[in-house]
Amino acid sequence: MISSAVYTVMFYGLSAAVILLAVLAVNLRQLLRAALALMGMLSLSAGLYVLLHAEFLAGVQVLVYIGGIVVLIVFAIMLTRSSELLEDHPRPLAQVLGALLSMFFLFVAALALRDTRFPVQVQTGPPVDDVRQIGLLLLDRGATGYLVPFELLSLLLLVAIIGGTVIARKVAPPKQPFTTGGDARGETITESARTQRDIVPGEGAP
Amino acid sequence: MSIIIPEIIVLATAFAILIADLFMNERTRVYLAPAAVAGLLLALAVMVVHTPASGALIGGRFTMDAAGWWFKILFMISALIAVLLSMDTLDGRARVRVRGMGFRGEYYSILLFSVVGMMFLVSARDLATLFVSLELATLPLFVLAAWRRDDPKSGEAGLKYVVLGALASAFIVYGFGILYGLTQSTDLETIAQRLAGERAPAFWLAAALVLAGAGFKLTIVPFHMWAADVYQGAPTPVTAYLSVGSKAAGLAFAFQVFYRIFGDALPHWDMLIAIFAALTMTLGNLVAIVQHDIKRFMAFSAISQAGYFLLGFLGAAEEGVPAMLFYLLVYIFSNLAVFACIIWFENETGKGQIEDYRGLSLSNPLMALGMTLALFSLAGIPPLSGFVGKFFLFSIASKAGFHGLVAVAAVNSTISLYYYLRVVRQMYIEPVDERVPAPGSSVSIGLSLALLSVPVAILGILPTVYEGIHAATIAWLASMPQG
Repeated sequence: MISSAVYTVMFYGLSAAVILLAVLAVNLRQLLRAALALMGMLSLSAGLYVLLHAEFLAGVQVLVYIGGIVVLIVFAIMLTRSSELLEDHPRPLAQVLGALLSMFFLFVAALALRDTRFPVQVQTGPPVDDVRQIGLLLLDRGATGYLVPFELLSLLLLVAIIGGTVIARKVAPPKQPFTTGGDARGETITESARTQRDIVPGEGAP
Repeated sequence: MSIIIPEIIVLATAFAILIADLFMNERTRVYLAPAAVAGLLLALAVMVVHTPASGALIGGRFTMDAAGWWFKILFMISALIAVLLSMDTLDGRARVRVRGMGFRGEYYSILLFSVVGMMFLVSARDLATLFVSLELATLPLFVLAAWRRDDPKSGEAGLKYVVLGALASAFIVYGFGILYGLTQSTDLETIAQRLAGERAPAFWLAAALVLAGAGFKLTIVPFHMWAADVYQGAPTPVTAYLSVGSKAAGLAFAFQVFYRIFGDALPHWDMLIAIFAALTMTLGNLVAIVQHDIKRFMAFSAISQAGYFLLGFLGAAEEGVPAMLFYLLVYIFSNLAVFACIIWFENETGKGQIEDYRGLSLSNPLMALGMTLALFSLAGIPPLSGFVGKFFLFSIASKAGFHGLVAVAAVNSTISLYYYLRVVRQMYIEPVDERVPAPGSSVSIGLSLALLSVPVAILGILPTVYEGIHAATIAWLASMPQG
């Protein structure tokens, strides 16, 4: 068991690093560096979960977010040519207003959270992190179970996969016209492939 | 067991379409839309005939109540009409073909998945289900908005929608997280019980965050900024579904959260809701006046309509809830009827400016009549259903003491009459300077317009529907944690 002082120092250190990396992930101009900052931010939040005795959550965080999502982002960046973000310069007024609004929200949220006594840490100790218990809860059909959201999540992922393939598919599949023409012949695979090649990078909508 | 059967039917239809699509060729894929229609009709029939208006399943995690029954009917009707309106575009029967609208099996199945999400949304009894089903209802809409692959506007619509939708979801999750922290429960009833009494400052933070998230879905000003571009860029049949589906889901979500969790805190927000309502109506109306693109015009019309919905939250729940539900019904029918004409006109001529509708009353009097009827209903002209719906909402705000707001709403109603009449003027009064070739007709769109026009015309006159909704809501409110 870590002593309370060390614990506090670790917590604030990790939190500061997470916030710093999150700001970097948003502000860095090089996409790859931003992705790396994101990766660092996610792994340090996994550290926060460990400090909070949620080891399972930390493991999932590393597996899914770092192992899956960030790696996917890095692949996407490396396989496309958009290594640098298209510069977007908001008007100074918009920047100032945005900053003020964010500061205001931060201030209000911090104030509200400071003045609230959450019952969690008062009544119970740290939660027991039991993978078996989590698994049982996810498939529990009773009043305390989470069967419905668990099953709905699978549908959500299915929709995301279908949507992703439809939107990201570069070339029409064989025999399926790119343009649905009913009985008429649509664009075939070669035609749309040629169109894709003809697109000059840097042109088109940002 | 029977309360979940409609959901299962819709879900089974979605999967059947998705799998059948794999084994079909381009010629036989025209049967996919009728299959979706058949599935939805069967689910609707089971819902109306067989499903009781109360009950609980899976340990109370999936429940049915009277207001939810009405919501589910509305969701399924919206989807049914949306499928009917999409058929011509997707099957290539349009005279002016839209490019890049392929993948019919995927299109119809994720449309149905979205309906399933909405149906689970109204049956949800815990935060996790509420959030996941809201995502399941909206994620397909992001994808559908970006469906036209080779149209940059459609891609832009999808991207804007997904980014701002994610922001809204982040607000909601943050709010839900705080609620869980305050109560240590995801069960809506338990949360309401534990929150009752003294309100911690974090409660108001959570409430504001969830309100903002619901505002995004309902296109409440200042959370409306996605609407215009998404409505304009998305394929028109998708816009039609989006304009009613997203709003209905947003309202269902607002009902769940406001009445189930926040309960007695609602009166504290009266002033805030009134300001939002006034802003939403006014901005939507003023910007709608100067629009030329009919889809953009309908987007701002939809924003201003959202302002009228908010009036229902001001009064007592016994009056507000039935009035909002009734207006939702009216709005869905009227808006879809307008979109039926827009889609048909775009299919036939490929045009979408308000000025293009010049002389429609001569070339196709029936379509022009249907559109006029629907526009008048949206404007709130008696004796059409829109008038009655607005009248209920205005009287609630008036009873709650917001006379100034009612005056603003009445002025806005008059402004909206002006811009809805702009379209009607193009169709009926403006002289036709050239001989426009008469647009053809379409079975599916004509059928849906006929199906929609009847309720638009008579819902306001027949009291039975409103009475049904009213009785349902009383029963629904009686089942609330705090009554």
